[in-house]
Amino acid sequence: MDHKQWREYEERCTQERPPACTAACPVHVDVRSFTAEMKAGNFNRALDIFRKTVPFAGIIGRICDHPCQAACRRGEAGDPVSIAALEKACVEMTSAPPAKITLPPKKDRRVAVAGGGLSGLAAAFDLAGKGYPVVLFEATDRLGGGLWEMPAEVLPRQIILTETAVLEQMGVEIRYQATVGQVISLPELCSEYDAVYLGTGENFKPVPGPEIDQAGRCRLDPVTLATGLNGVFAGGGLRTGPDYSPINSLSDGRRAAISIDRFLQKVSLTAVRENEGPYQTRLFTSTKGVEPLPAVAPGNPAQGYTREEAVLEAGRCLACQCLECVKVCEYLAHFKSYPKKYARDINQNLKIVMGVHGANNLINSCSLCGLCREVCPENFDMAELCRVARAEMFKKGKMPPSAHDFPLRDMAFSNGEQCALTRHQSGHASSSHLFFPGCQLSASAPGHVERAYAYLTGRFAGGVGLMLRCCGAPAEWSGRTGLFAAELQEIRKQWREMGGPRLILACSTCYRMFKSHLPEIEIVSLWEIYDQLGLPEAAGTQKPGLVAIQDACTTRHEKQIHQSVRSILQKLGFKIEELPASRETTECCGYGGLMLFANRKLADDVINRRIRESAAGYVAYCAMCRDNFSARGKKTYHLLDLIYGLADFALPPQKGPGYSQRRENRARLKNKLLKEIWRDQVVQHESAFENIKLIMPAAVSGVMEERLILKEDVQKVIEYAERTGNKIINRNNGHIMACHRPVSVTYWVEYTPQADGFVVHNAYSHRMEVEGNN
Amino acid sequence: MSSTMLIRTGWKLRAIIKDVKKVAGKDLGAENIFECFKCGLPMEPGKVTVSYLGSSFPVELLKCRQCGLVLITEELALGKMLEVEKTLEDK
Repeated sequence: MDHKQWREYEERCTQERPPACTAACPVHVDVRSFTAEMKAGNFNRALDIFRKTVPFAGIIGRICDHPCQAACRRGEAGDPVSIAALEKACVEMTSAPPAKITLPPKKDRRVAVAGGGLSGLAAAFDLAGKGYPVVLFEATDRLGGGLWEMPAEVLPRQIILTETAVLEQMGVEIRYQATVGQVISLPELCSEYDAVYLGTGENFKPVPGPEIDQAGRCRLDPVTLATGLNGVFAGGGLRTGPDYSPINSLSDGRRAAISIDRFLQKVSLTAVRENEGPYQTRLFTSTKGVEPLPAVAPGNPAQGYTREEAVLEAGRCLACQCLECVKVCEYLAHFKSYPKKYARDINQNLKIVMGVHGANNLINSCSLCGLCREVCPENFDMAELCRVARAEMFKKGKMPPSAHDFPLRDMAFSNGEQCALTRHQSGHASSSHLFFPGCQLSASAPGHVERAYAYLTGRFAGGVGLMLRCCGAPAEWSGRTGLFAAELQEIRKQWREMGGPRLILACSTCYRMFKSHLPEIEIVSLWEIYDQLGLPEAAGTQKPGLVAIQDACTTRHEKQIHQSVRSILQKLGFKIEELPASRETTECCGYGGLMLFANRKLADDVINRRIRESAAGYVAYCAMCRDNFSARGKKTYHLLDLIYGLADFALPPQKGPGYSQRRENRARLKNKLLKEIWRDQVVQHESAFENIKLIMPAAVSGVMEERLILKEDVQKVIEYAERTGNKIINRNNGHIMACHRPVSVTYWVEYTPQADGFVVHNAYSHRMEVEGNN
Repeated sequence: MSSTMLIRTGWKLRAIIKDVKKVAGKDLGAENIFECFKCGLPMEPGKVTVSYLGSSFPVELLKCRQCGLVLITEELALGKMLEVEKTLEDK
């Protein structure tokens, strides 16, 4: 992805967009922060926030016509937040003086403002604030214009006087009784001043110059508020006519001030002004599940809210944000931010040449499950970003070796001589079908592979071949693009040699890989086959009960698989509980994307979150889902356990095999099938290390599992140490310490010889190379 | 051993390496406990070069002065050494 594509991707995430109220406000008051402070009882801070975008806050706070409230999302669950009433309570109950205005050095270009109504006041305020000498021409003897027509109980007269007095403090020269067109003509203004703002209200008697439309309103550029006259801008009642809106007048004055500043600086009047004035926000905010609440009614409507009432009403604010994906994903929540920021971090991470790659962990921790994309209204897909990033990291040699080393070696083992197998059905010279059980089912439950294969050969007459190997997913997940392509090529080659049969897949990840990357191969899931061709007669004694289905994340879009699984369970007599997140929005078990290896702690959190979603036992059709959940104490059955009546619901959760056992299971499965089905003579070459007999306390096995150390790694260390004598003795306890580096990891084992074997006390590893030990 | 490259890293790595030396130093206190099986000599503190991903640096560790075999304890391997590995991986 190039820089522009990354930026476009970032833009999809709407979390940083303003809430609907702020976007609807012509001057974009930060209502969300304002109500948060009000809710916390910090009225002074709330006023500071209000003042940031609202000059003359004491006036506007009392009379604002609040277009924000119509946009308030709280309105979808009860009444909109009474924002105007809160602002009124805030300005009435807060006496904090405004922050002292520090004026920049005076500029030499002068501006005339005609009209002392809200728009003129705002224009004068902003321009004086930028350092322009401003002369304000007011037709009457007081500032405020239409404000004086407001009832005094709504807008006390003293407020108008004190609030507008700030202009004189800012050095604005005010000329009273100075009607433009009488005291001074527009052409005179234009020649004496470098720019002019006309804010003379709807009753403005047109002077020759600005174009006037049929309704008597001044014709203005909608973006810049420029009139047809060079350097003359206008707004307020002149623009809106009789529909007086204080907040729109204020906004006009501010926007015209921006135009005048740009005009005087001779820069573009129109660049980057998209979101001035009211607009529609892109921020997505769900009000699903929000308890409807009516607005707090003031005890004395004439007085407005008391302090306590205001705090309560502010508490109804939803503090709108999106975070749809973060709410459903432990990974996105774990890094404590949201996709827009993650995308920035990842992009930056890829660009760093020297320095710390702080986002490596973020990139490698994603399960690539795609749930974020499902729930995002804009289809933001972290998986896609992480995939691209991983591939690029690997290409540049910046992929941390420790992240994916173990599963990649596991893949190499699955696809090596010891485990991989491709054969036509015994007694057949061709195959109409080819069963591909996948490496994890072979590792977790090799018996199921045998049962399923026996079933399939009994149902299809055209010969069902068998292919034992890994689909290459770990290569794809770890960004090893070239390795993945090579794995696919090997599968394609063997499939062609088998005559291009239809593939039957037991693993959801394989299904996904084949579907996405080997489209020329016709595939079907094993579950569809069981559903369509009928279930085998099971000898088991299991009694059906209630189960919750863990759909596999890699086939979240395969409706026919979801349906087949449910249909099978129904046929077996099970009652099905749908988890709140299932089918298209199912959650990953922590294995996807190799999260389990790159970020163990996070994977644990992911698993623990998922297994708590229902008290019912889970049924999974992915071996990794089953094993991960069972390992953390959740009763989880593989669909094949149920199909073959092998689940014993009375037993506690059954842990799957450890990493060493998984390898052994795969290798044994191949040998067993070769012997029993194809009647092959299996010649096993035993390496020297395999003769090392280990005596392993359960605690040590547990530690090794956690540290990703295989039994064979320990055997290799001991075999090496005993053969070479390269070992260290601990005189205190007689234990031997020895190390060996068969791969890019050095394994250390602490052991004691005992009879014909070795008691293993401890095992650990490091990746650093140590001079003298290699 | 891979070609050694002078490490150019920030303060964080340097601080960790200092720590590695400290931890290694603590192991040194155990020198009279460990003995090289082949040489029959006690493991003694000595300069050892460790390296990872193209970065190398010297530390003091328990080693056999005759055959050069070095002891890396569990505490060092899973503590500071792991931290340095992670830091270098993110460099």
